[in-house]
Amino acid sequence: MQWLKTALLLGATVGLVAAGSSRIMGLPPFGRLLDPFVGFWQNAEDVDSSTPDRLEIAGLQGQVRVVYDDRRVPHVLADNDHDLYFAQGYLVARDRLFQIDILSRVPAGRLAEILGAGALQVDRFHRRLGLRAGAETSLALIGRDSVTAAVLSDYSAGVNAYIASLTAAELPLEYKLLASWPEPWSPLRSLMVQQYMVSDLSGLSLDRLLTHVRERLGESAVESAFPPTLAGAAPIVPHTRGKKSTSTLPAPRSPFSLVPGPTFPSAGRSHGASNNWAIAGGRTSTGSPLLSSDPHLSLTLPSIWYEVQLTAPDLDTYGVSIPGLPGVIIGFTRQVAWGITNSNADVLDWFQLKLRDGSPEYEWDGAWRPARISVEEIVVRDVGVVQDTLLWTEHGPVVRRSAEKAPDEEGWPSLYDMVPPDCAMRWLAHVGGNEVRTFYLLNRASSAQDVKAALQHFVRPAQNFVYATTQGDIGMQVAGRLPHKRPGEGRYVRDGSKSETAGEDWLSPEQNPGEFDPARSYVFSANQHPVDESYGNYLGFNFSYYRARRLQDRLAMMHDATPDSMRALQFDKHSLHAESLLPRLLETLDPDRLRPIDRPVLELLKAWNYENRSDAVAPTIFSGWWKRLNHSIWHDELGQGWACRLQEKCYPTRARVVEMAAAGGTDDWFDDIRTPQKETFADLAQSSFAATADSLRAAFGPMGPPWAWSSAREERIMHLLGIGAFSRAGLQTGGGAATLNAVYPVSRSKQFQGPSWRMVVSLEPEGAVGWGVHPGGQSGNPGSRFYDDGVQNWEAGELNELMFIVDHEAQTAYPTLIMESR
Amino acid sequence: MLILSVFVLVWIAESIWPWWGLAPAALLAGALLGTSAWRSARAGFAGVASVWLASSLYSHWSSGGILTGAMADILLLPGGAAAVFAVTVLLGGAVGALAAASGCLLGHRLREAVRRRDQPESAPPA
Repeated sequence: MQWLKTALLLGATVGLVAAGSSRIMGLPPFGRLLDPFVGFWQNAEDVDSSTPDRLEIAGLQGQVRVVYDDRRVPHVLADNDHDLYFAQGYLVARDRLFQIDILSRVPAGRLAEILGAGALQVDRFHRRLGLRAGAETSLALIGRDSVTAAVLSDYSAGVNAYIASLTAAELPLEYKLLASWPEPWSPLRSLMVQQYMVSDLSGLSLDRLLTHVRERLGESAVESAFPPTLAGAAPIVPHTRGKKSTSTLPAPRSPFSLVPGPTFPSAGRSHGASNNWAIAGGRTSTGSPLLSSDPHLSLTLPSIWYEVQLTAPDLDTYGVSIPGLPGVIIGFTRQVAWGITNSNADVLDWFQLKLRDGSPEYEWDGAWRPARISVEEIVVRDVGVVQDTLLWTEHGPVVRRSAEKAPDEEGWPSLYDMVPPDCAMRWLAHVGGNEVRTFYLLNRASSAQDVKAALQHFVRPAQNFVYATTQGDIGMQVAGRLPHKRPGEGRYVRDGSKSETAGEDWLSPEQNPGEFDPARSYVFSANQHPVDESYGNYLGFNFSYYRARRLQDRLAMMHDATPDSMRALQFDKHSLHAESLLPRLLETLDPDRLRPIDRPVLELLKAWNYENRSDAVAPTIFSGWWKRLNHSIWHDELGQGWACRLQEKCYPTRARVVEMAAAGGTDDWFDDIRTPQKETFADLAQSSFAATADSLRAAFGPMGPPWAWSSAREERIMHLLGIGAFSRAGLQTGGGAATLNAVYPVSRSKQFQGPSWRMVVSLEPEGAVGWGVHPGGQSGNPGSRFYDDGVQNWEAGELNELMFIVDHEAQTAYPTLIMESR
Repeated sequence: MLILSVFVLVWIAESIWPWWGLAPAALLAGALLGTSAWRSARAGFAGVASVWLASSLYSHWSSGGILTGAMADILLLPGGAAAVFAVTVLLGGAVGALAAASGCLLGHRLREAVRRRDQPESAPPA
């Protein structure tokens, strides 16, 4: 009996320890998590924590000095390239290990391995996009370039050196919550991070939507609603003819076949909201060029950027890197600065296939051709391996089959709506590239010629690179592979059954638009149309409009500019869209038809100066009014069938509506085709205004402080996995989708898009001087004060000084970590 | 004495082994010094809870409590940081109590077995 009692107690002890070590029903292992010696408590960094002053690491060739400034930016001073990139990988892993793991897992379709069955559909979707194939092609290309292959390999070795040194107590908190452990890094995983960016910047297409609209309403309706260009647009490179027009190119190989008949699905991407510009010395107070880079991405914690200085005998560069990738992506050397915006060029096309029933074959020039089959094995935590078959055709992979269940039933991600069923996808992401070479060279650039040479290597996806030099040059270059479309090509789903549509022509890098030291003394881009109509080659239509107009207006009048002028322009909250539309809306409203309760709302709008200030109420009213008006214009015609799921994503641009309103407001698009009478712009304005006021009162009560812009839209920055406690809510930054400070929610999610890195560089003869801020911090650890210490300055529109630290300052002026070979 | 032994042994074990190291440490203390299962359980609870409370309080104070409130949100604990401490102490203490009590009983059983082995069989009545 005594032995039985003893055995029972021992069993209970072992059971409790086992339960505390295990994930049960998806919950964290509470014993390990709560243990103060190894659990989450160990991730709570000391307020006055200092970094270790010496580390011995196997794999280094010599000594690396890492000087930490007061924002814990590492200034890496190495004696050779190997140690430099090794150290960069090590330091990024130490600060952002979980982030780089997730960034590489998303495009690889490997989230379910650590997150479980809830991520299976997202994984399947990303596998179907064929992103891994593109990364493998890039890896093969890079393998033929010993320099960049070594850079990737050294960086990877540095990440792995950190992972090998990791203890249970030091494990990033997210791993502790998930009861997971990081797996080794590799160059391929770095290239998957790159694929993540390629996908984010070029991954959606409106071809399905335009095909749908054409089939319901005709091609003229498509041209009316989605015109390739808009009057008054401010292209990146104006008057393209005579510069680098493509009109002298030989005609593309063959006419293409449009798909006749059936209806296909899909939809839109945002325009993006990045800005960059440079102004020549003639317009600045110092006589030296000023450059601004203001890339906008989804705002997350940790930040998508990691600030770093990289110094070795052949380079001295400062800026931001993308965790998981070597080098500095946006930044400056002592003589050159550069910045990036997305070109938004259309590099994704769909081809309708005729698939054979019961067999993985598709029609090709009148015969059946077998598709290449790739069996994807998706490891799902706590479940096992789930197989998915990916079909590859001459054009590319088949992402969605018509026989599969509807997305709602299957829980596919919303991106699935953009994908036409039984179609092959031809996408630049499947084409490999050695973009590492571009940044390797930019990080060593000392002149405009060096920049131009570096950009020749950039492939995916095309970006607008602004640059300026201490020699006084400024320039803008669209770099990356641009398709040479056949006339009319690129807007609709095409017939994929004929070999004549296979393959794609590309422009040579010399034919990409660009300008250098223009007479107007400034260059700028804001995701707008890169060229005007004289360029002669279709690059797409889904371009931004108002931010470019605003930038052009402001830059054209800028003289004696200072770095602070640049900073203020980055933080600009003036809505040119509101300035263009609101007066027309107000003048069409019939005062006699207004309810008394709505009159104060109207008066407030009349007094508005179009500034989207965080504490202003008018932006909330205008934004609500605009959304309802836009919906009432387009929903009856465009939001039908499958497209109703897309809501505002399938609607034309803001500028197109303003253009129609300016043309008299009697366009047929304003008519609600579901009613017998014919509506006009004035009718829709009147009805949507009252509905907006009602909905705001229902949501926030009587008009007052709760209607304020930032509060009403609940500005926030979400944690990478959406963990609320690791996110930052209650921000007061203001701005909006059509302002230069383009902070806005992504669709109806809690995720915001916005300025991910604001940088200003003055290219003074004695050396470049920079300022910058990103909405986060250097650490990816929510238990560190460096996790989000940049948010406050970012929110206020302030910039930090970006300092080059030189070797003799190491160990004297700043905390310095010495990394040495073991 | 037993509480102090648990405290010291658990602290040492936790510094060397993963989190489960506290169980054999408390068990060993109970086996060597435990007089009754109930007393050992109380001492095991108090010893481990003290170690965990001291260590977690140190983390909390030295970090300015940067994570404690957030973890209360994640673990859906009403009561904020105090609840996180309570759960931490209760969990560590529970393992310590069970381990020390079972160590105490195990020690008794082993000592009994040794005694029986070492004692000569009683002589038959004359």
